[in-house]
Amino acid sequence: MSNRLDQCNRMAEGGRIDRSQPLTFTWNGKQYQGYQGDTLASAMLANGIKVVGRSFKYARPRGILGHGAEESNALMQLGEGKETIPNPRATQIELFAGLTATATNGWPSVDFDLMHWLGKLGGKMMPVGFYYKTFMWPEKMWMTYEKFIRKAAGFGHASAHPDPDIYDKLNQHCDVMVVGAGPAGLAAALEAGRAGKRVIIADEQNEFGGSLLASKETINGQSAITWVEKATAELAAMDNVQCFSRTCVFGYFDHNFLAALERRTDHQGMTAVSGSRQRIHRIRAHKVVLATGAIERPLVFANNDLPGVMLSNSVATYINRYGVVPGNRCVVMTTNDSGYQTALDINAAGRTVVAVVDTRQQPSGRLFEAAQAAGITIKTGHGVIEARGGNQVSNALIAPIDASGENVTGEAVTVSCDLIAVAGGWSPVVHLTCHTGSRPQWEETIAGFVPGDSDQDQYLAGAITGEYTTLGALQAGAKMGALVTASETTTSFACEDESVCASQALYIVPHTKPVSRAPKQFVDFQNDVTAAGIALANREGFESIEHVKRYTALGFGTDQGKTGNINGMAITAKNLGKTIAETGTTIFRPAYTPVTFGALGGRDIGELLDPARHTAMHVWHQQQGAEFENVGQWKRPWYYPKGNETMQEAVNRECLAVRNSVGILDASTLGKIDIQGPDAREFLNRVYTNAWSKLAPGKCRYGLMLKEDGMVFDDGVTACIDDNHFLMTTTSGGAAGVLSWLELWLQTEWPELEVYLTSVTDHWATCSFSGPNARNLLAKLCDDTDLSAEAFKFMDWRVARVAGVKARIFRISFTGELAFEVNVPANQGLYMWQQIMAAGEEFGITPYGTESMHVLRAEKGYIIVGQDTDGSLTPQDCGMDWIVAKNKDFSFLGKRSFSRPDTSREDRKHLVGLKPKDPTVVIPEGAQIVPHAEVTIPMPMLGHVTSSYWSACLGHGIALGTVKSGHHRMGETVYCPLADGRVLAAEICSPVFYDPQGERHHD
Amino acid sequence: MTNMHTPLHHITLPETVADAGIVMSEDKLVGHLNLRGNPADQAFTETVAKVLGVALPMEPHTGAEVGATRIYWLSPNEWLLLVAPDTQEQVELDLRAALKGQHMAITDISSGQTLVNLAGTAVDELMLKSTVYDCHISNFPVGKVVQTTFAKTGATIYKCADGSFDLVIRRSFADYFYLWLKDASDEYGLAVI
Repeated sequence: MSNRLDQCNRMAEGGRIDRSQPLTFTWNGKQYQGYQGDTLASAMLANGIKVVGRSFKYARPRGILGHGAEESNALMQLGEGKETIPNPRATQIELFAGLTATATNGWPSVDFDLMHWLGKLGGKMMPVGFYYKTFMWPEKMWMTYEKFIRKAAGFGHASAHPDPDIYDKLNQHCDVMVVGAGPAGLAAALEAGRAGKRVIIADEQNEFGGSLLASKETINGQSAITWVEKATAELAAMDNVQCFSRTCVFGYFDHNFLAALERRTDHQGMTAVSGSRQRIHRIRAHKVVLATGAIERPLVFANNDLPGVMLSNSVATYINRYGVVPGNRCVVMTTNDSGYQTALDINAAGRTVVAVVDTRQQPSGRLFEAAQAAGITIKTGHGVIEARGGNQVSNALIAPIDASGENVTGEAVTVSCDLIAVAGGWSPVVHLTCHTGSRPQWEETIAGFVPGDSDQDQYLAGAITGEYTTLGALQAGAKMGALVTASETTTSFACEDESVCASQALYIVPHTKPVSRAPKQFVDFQNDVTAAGIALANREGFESIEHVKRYTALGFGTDQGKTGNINGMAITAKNLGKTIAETGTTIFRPAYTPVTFGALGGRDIGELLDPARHTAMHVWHQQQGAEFENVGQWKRPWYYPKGNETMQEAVNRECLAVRNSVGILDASTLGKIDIQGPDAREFLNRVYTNAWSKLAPGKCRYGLMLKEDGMVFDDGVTACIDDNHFLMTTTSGGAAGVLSWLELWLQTEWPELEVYLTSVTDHWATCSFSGPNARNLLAKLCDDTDLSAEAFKFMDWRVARVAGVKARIFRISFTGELAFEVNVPANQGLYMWQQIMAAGEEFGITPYGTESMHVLRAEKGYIIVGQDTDGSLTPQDCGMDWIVAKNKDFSFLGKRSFSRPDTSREDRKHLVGLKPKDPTVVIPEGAQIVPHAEVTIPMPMLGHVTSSYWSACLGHGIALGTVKSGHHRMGETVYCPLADGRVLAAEICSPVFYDPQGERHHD
Repeated sequence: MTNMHTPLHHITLPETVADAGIVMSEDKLVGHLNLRGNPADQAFTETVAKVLGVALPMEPHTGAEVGATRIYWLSPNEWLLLVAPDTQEQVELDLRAALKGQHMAITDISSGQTLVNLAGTAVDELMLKSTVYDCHISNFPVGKVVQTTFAKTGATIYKCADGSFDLVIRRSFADYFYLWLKDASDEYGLAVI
């Protein structure tokens, strides 16, 4: 293709890429070629691509800075359409055939950006402290600002389509978790693995080796890569070791719990062909070895954000690992010896090193001498004070600086270059240690923060401690690997001379102009935070580093300030006249690098988000086309629409069937607790408000359960099986809570009571049928029991054979009609239901759901705990004083609270019936109740409507609600003002609307 | 018996695939009895041992086995008895008769839960997906009994001699259990036998 560029920066040989496997990719609409083993970043650099995006605030052109997780500029919009992924770093995207990426911002293109000109305006509109000030005032303007910010800058967009991939999670356990597979991590894992420990070693890169992948060193006389390959092979062969590459440990939590994201197929294409695209490993480790390495710091100097300014170590990595030299004429600025290695690598790759600019006055030693020997120009006691260029670096201004690093001491010279490699020292990757609350500590000798004290069983090895030599890392790894196995290592390593000359602690390079006047000196590239911005924050009184961070947005980006934070802290310290140790550091939170929501969700999505509990008859309800209602986790039939019936029509039909003939309800979801033991009666006396001493076997009783505060907590019917044996029922949603509550009292307060509880909720299936024909129906199926009203009274229960199945029949009613509940083991529930349906056909038996159940019970004024009560109603408030025993030997839970002044006052909210004045209306549930029809604001609230329905059998709306002093206001009219402007009048009445004498259920 | 429908009775063969990495089977109609009593009461423990033919396991995470009967330790005063199909009523009667006058509770919960076996070459990885408990052989030897989570429901898990796992799951969560299992097994293939 005409617009395909050659891989102009690709070396003829070397690196961990496979030149026999060329891969075509598309960047901003143009096709390019890279190789298997490339990252998108290395492939872009190989093709001479310099500008990869525009900056957040000033819309300045930005290029690739680093080569890994630290990258702050090269955020990509990867892929298109429903597969698109926002904001991965080009440095962490492995190249695959057909990869498509675009810049996340910059319009119409990153090279010619209109927003750049608008950005100059944006810069003025978004001064330092913009977020801080905007959040402070005026709040309502934030929405306006936000739109502007999003449009002007923004980094990438998420797909609006469902994610085509799946994600999953594994729970891992190990003796030793090793984070990082560089020299230290590999040595530690080998040691622990050889000792037989269960080891997991994870590394975010596509292959193990860490810094050794770009190293020319030797280990034990062989190349570093050979050592890595042998170590990796040995680990892979151990059954007790699990090796995860492409796996980033992104979070470290208390008790050595770690979370890691494994990218399983990201390197193959946009979506997984089969299985999960990404997987989260939830790792529980006995001991953790952190070998997370270090990240090189850039230096702060004028225009240091121009494309072509890169981290020195990253340049070396591109050369040695990817066979790419990202420049032709290179200036290396360094405060330590590592810049010299990069200069030697560039030189060896056949490109020009214009100069090594060393800020130190008198460097010496091995690498210095090697550079001299190679004929490289070295300018000691100098700094690159400014980069110049349009869309990329074209010149560097080099000037002498004094030993303090604070002043330019002479004339600057301009040199022509297209790459400035910057080596500003190293920052240990302390992020994971911070996640568990440990604060990093400044270590003067390495000019960096190292992990502070930790409460975790955690071991550190290698560069994370400031140990930057390969030999030191290997030895520390082996030592820690042995330590976690409670032994001492005997492994020895040999490397070449790694001696270095002392480095200089320098963070910002002086300019001939003061910070406020010099061209912008960037600290945090992703958030466009400059040295001048930090100075302004300090001048405005922000001295705590946490405040400076929030004021300037330093470290707020998706890179979490991996390259910028230390420089920002150092600049703050300098402005305040403090040391860095005194200034301190902000700490890092999970995630180390961004994690997709898909991975965090895993498989707990859709129908697996929350378990749905089903009764034994669920299949039947589904076949009948029932609509379901969530009750706790249960799916209960809500109503059974026929044909084109509306919900109201279905409910009317179901309710009338119960009142006129017979209806059937699946009541299996009620909580059921089997209570056994000689003190069972006494136990019931204590947990229920009423008396249980005299309930005979074969009898049932309704009970109300209170919390200690005297408020209604649960209710249900309990049957006496025999003197030492009861069966309690609870509300469907409250079952687990009630069982825990009862166990709590038994185990901690009343251990002297001989009572055992067992949940039998799932064991019993319950077919509850109600209506005038209920007895006629049951008689057809049961011939071994006298069902007559005299022999089988209301609130009796019997063991009987129903349809040939041994069952427990309870004559209890929640509808106010003659009703029986047939309980059978759930394995026979479906069969029993079908038998009852068949036998009931001649009576027009009608299945009804929870909605009709609610209407039917409301017609009778029966409460539903949790709907009509809300934890603030006593039995008296509910008009249920009749169920509160006054003379039990032992107190019962909640009794004492009745004598509190607040619970005994007369003007509490009472549960009452409400009859709408207009018989055709149904007052909305939740409606507020007020004393007057004329709405004035504010006006006193009397209460609210808790339940409200159309009663088909009564022909008018009915409601229950709480009203202040309601029991004393019978017959009074109250009003419900609605959002639509209507004001509905209702009369306070008894909550029992239907059959107040209870003749029907006693029939 | 035609009037019996176990919790997973509706899971049938269409899910079967050749060379499945996961094989699920429901051990249908096993009797499940919950027994509670005082472990320090020798009269209780000795009587139970006599009736069942084996002593109750007293250590957490342990079980006991005799003939077709398996016993799981559930809590310091609670055990699950898994007995041959259709014998649970008789076992309950025998225990009640033998323990007459003693404080204990025995409850038939045979319909409230079911016994499921998970086997197959991928079963260990399936367990990694499904439970936070460490199912590695070093931590979960044959015969161990653990009550823990399985996805978002609970399970009592027993490691069988053949490397497979027996799970006791609650009836009302059985459909969710199967949905999870089907999804988690997708990459290995699932057979239902």
